[in-house]
Amino acid sequence: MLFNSLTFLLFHLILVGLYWAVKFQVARQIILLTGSVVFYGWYYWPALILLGISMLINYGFSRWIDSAGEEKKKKVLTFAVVINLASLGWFKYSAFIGETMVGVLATLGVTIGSPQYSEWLPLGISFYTFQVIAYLVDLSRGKVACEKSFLCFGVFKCFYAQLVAGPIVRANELIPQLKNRRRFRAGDFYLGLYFIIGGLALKVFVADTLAQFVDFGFESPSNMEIATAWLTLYAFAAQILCDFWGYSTIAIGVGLMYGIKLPLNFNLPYKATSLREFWHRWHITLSQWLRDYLYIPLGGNRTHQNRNLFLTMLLGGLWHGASWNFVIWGAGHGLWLVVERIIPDRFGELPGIKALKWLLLFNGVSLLWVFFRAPDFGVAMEYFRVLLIPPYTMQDSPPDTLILMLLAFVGLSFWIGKSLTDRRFLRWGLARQVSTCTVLLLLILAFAEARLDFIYFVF
Amino acid sequence: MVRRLKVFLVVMLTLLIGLECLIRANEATFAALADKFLLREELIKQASDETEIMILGTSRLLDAVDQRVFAEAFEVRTGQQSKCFNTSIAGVNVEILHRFAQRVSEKEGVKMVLIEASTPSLTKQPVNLDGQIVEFTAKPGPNENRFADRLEEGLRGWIHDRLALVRQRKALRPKTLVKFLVPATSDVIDPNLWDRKGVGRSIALALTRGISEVKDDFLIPTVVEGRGETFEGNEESEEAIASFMIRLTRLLQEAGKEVIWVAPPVGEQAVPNEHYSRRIATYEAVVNELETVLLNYTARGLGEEYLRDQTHLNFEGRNQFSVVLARDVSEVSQLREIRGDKE
Repeated sequence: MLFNSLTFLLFHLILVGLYWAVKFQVARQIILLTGSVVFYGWYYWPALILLGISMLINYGFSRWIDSAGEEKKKKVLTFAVVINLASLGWFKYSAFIGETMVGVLATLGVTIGSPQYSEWLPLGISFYTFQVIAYLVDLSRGKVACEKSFLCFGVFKCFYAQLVAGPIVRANELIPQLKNRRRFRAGDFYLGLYFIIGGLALKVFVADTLAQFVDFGFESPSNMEIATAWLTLYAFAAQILCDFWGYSTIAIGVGLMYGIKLPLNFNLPYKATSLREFWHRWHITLSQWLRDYLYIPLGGNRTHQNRNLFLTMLLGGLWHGASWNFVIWGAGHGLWLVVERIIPDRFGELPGIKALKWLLLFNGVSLLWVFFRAPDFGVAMEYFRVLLIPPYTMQDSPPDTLILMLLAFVGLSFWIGKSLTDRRFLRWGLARQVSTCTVLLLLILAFAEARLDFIYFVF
Repeated sequence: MVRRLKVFLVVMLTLLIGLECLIRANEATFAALADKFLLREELIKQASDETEIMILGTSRLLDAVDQRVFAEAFEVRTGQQSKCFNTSIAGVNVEILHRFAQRVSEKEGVKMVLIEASTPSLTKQPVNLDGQIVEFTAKPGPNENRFADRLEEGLRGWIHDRLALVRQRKALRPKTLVKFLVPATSDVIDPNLWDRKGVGRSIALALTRGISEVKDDFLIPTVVEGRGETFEGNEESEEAIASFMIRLTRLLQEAGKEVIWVAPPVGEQAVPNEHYSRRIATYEAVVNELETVLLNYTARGLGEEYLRDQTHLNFEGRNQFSVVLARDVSEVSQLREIRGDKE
């Protein structure tokens, strides 16, 4: 079920009504679990089998870790992580690994047949796998208590608000909220409603409208002139932010309508003036996951900091997708972070420097998006050629709508961006609340041309 | 906060119901705003009675003729003030052109109609001339016949049928809403400028420029005048074009309008085009039968400096051609005589 569909809105309203109509938290958990199963199976019901198996196995692992002694705990945890990563690897990376192996062996003169791999990528597998790994690791470290109720564990594993594309929620954030009886708070409900409207506006109005220019541009970069190519790149930077930020904001809004607070996933990332700051603002829950469960176990700041940083970002890139483009994208970010760490920032306070740093950061991040969006390495190189290599042609002006939509993105970010990151909406006057929501609703309605899937669904 | 939430929901609902009522009461206008052809038809209907010359065509004639430059140059040649409206529009097909011609034929003030003699598409495109067709273009899921997809489509259809706000949602786009200005300002700002790339620059240029001097290397047309010879069809597509031309010309002639067909200029690479030559031959043959005039500017190609692409003029080309066309039309036109007869 897509957040930007009428079916979802109807489904969600019915479920919220039922949730608040019943008094017992267990009944509410049943409603949430049933709803989540319907939500996930709605798109492709056989995926429920995998989700169900993952739920059962990981519940078993959690109980096993909880009952095991200190020595055995580590072994069980390692086994559990390997099983989870193997499942993720099979569904997401088997084709990539297989094809790479065939290619490498072919260059060595060894010819083998194409290996078997999964042609089906279960929706949200990267997100729910990471979430459950974090739970098992925290459990083994004693940071979180074992959840003995399978019902509650089930809702934690597949709460429909964040199941498919995050935010990646920690057990100690979500499970207590699921277990303790929630009291209806009008403020949360009100804010949730606004977040859903705001998130839909980001997705439907900005991301989906810009998508048509981005798709056209990346289909054949050589057909564009330099100005259009740069604007199309900025359009993708805006599209991917609004697509994912929109999804996360709707997810947080959906949670709030149940009185459940989910963590913030985006905090105006293009305001950052360093890449480090960017990753503190972009896909925050993934950044924190990578820090806690990859960077620190690799050695963190204690030893080989640069290597750890680079490897973390490289693997973070690979998490986004099984292709060399994502590896390069991750490596690019990793290298940049390392350089940023090595070169001391001596000019930070000088006038104009902040603006210059922002300009460099935004354009640098945008340039790296080329690898992220291009269907293959060849197209990425072609795009870079148009962007950077002379001769530059400027015979045709870029489409008006593209320019207007980029301005609309900037305007919308300034207008409502902050209000989608905290609770300030509740402090606004009624007139401002109503006018903002009316304009956003009309924008959603006017631009609801087609239901486009969310980009992060495939990650 | 509960009270605030209730007030918020009531106010929002009231606003949306109010908007729904407003759109229902003016649904045809909103439909026209969201559809460029309907808007163009509305503009033809609303054109002032002083408009004596109308131009019908595709993007080619739209790019080739600046109505204000044409009218000013025509006035210079004839000594009489004439107002012109270029109704040409990109993506037009013969059905829409015929519909526009019907509206033009109903305008009593219009004396002369210039029609593009090039290649309007004969394919049947989905035409939204009745103003009620607004479709959801939902992306089909992996299995289009699933219950999930049927439910989603059913819900969309149900809401679409009941809410004008949803039916006319495209009219709510900011860029479309700006089009409320188009009919109101059409006497000052050429309505065609709103659809151009770089609308601000186009409007500024159009409001500030005057008639340009025609350069020596600009085109001289091949003029074909009708002699009443019967057209004998050759190929199916050419017969279709011929039949369309005959239908359109007769419709306008019966309404007392003078009809002149214009084949707008092309680039040097487009001139030797075999298909083009055959089409022009068809036009010439039909013009012979209809006792009207064809001004053919395609015999010699224009240089790059006048072209946006091989079949469309740029700003400089448009300015030059508007003056040239006014000169040539004034020479072949009967408008002076028509006016003279009436006076």
